[in-house]
Amino acid sequence: MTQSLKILSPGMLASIQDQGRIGYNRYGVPRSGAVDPVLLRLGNALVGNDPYEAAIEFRFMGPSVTAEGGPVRVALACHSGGELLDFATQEKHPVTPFQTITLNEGDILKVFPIDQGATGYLCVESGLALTPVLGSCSTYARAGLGGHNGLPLQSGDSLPVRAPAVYSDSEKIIAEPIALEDGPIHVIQGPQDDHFSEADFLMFVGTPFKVSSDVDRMGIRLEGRKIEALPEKGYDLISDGLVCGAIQVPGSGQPIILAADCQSVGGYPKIASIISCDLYCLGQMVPGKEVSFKAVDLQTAQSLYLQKEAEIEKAIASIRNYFDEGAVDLLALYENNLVGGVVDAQNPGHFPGHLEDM
Amino acid sequence: MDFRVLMMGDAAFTIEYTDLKGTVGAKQVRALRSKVQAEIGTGEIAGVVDMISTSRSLTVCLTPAYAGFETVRQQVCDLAGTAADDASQQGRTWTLPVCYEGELAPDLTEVAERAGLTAQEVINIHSGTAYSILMIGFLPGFPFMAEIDPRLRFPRRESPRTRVPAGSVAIANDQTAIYPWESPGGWHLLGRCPVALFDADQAVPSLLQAGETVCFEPVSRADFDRIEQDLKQGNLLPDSFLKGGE
Repeated sequence: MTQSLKILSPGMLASIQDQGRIGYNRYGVPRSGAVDPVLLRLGNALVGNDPYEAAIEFRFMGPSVTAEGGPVRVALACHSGGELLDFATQEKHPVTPFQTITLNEGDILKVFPIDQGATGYLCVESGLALTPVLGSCSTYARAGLGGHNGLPLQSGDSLPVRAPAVYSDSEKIIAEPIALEDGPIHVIQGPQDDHFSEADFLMFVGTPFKVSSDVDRMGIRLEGRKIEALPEKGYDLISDGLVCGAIQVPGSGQPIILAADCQSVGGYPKIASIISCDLYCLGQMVPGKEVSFKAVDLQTAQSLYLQKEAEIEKAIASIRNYFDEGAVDLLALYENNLVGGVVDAQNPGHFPGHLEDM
Repeated sequence: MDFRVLMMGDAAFTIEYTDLKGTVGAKQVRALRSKVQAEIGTGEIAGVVDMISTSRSLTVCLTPAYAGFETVRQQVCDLAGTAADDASQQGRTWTLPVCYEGELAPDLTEVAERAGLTAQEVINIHSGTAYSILMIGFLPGFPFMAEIDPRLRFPRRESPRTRVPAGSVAIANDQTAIYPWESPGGWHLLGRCPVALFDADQAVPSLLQAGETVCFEPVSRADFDRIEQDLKQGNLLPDSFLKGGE
C-alpha cells in the first residue's frame, strides 16, 4: 500500500492549488491557483519541493489530516499553528507556523482556525500524486477541473503521496518567515481610468476600505465610500478581459477585487489593478480588515517585484533544522533577554529606555 | 484603425478598438490576435502567457512584472493599427441541435408573449439565423454569439436565476449563448443543446472558437435524448456537427 494523506476534516473551503492554469483564459477557463502564492512557495521550500507543487489550500479554518500506509512529511505554511496528536504516545505536541511535521501512520495533525490572515497551505514532501488537467492540479469546482476528482476537499478524501517520507532526525522551520502585509496595496491606475474623475481616483487610493463578508476565491467585495463613475460613462461597458487583481466597480460603487478564480471577461469598469508582487495579499484578506491602496507606475511595480522576490529568497534561505544549533540559539537568545532584564518578564509591553523612563 | 492601450496592472494590457463592436469588432480583434500569435511563434514577441479576445478588445497577459512589458506593448501596438483582411478569418460552421420543447425551454412562452409572436415563430427566428461567435468567456467554453433578430432582443432578466442548467440555449440583448455548465445566469432560456462544449481532455478544450459560425437545428425531445445518449457513449462525435461533417 502506498502512503497517503487522509482528510479527517477539511476545515473550510479546502482545495488543491498550485500555480494555476496559465494560458487557458482564451477558452474561458479561469487561471485559479493559490490565492497566496508566496505561502505556497515557502511551504514547498520547507519540504524541498518545486516552488509551485500542488498543496492543500485552506481558508479561515484549518483541516485535520492523518497519514495512511506509511509516514508522510508535511509543511504548515500558515500564519497560525496547530497541534500534532502522536498516535503511539497519545501525546499532543504544539505545531508552530512554518515548520515541517512527519506524520507517522495514525498521527493526526490538526491545524487551528486561522487567527492571523485567512489562508494557509499544507505542502507534502515529494508532492501529491495527482493528474494535472490543462496543465495544472488546481481545483476549479464549477467545471470539475483538477484537484481531487474536480471537487473541494471533503472528509474521508485520501490523497496519494508520490513517495514515502525520508526519515530524518530533525524537522525544518523558517526562522524568518515573511510577515503579514499591513501596508497599502500597490495598484496601477486603469484599465478604465476614463470612467472615473481624477478626484474619485484620488479618493479611491486615499481612503481605506473595509473587507466585507463577501470573500471567496472569485473576488473580494470591499465596503467604503461610494466610488462614482462619471455619469456620461456609467457602470456598464462592452465586456473586456479580466485578470486577478483588477478592481471593478459595479453600480453599487463598492469595489470588488477579482481573485484567482475570476471569470475571463466582464462588463464593469475597473478603476485600478493590483501589481503582481502584491497579489498574494488577496489570500490574507479577512472580513473586517482595513485595506488601503497606493498608486504606482510600471517601473515602481517592477522594482517592488524584485524587492519582494529578494524577501522571499531571504525567507527561504532562513530555513533551519528545527532542533539544530541555529534554532536553539534563537530560543536561548529570547530566554537570555528575559533573564537579562532587557524585557521585563512581568511586563512584556514595557521596554526600558522608552521616553517615559527618561 | 483607432485603438487605445489600457493598462491592467504590471502583467496585462488591453488593446481596445473603441469605435468597433459586434461581429466587425470581433473580426478586427481576431486579426490582431493572429498577428500577435504569429510573432510569438517566430520568437519576435516574448513574455506573453495568454490572450483574451472580446468583441472589441484584446487583453495580452504577460509573465508577472515582465521586464520587457513596454517592448511587448509597443510591438502589439505596431500590429494593431492595420485593418483586418477580409479574405482571411473564414472560420468553420457548426449546426448544433436544439430542443425548444417543454421543460427544456422555460422562457420560450414569455419571450414569445413579449415579442408578440407565437412560440413557433420565435423558434423559427432563433434557428433561422446564422450566428458569429464573438468571444469565448465567462465560463469555460461559453460562446457569446451575435446577432439576434431585432424582434427577439430583450435585456437580461431582472432577477437572474441561481441555477441555469448546463446546455441551456439563451438570449439577451443582441446575443445568444449556450451555457456549457450549470451556473447562475440572467439570460432568457429558449432551449437545450445536447452537445458538450468543453472537454478538458482535448488540447483545445473549447469545442467552439471565436470567429466560427453557429446555426441551430430544432430537434424533438426524443431526438435530443438520443443525441445526448449517442454523444455520451461515443457513438457520435462533437465534430459531426460541423457543416459537411468534417
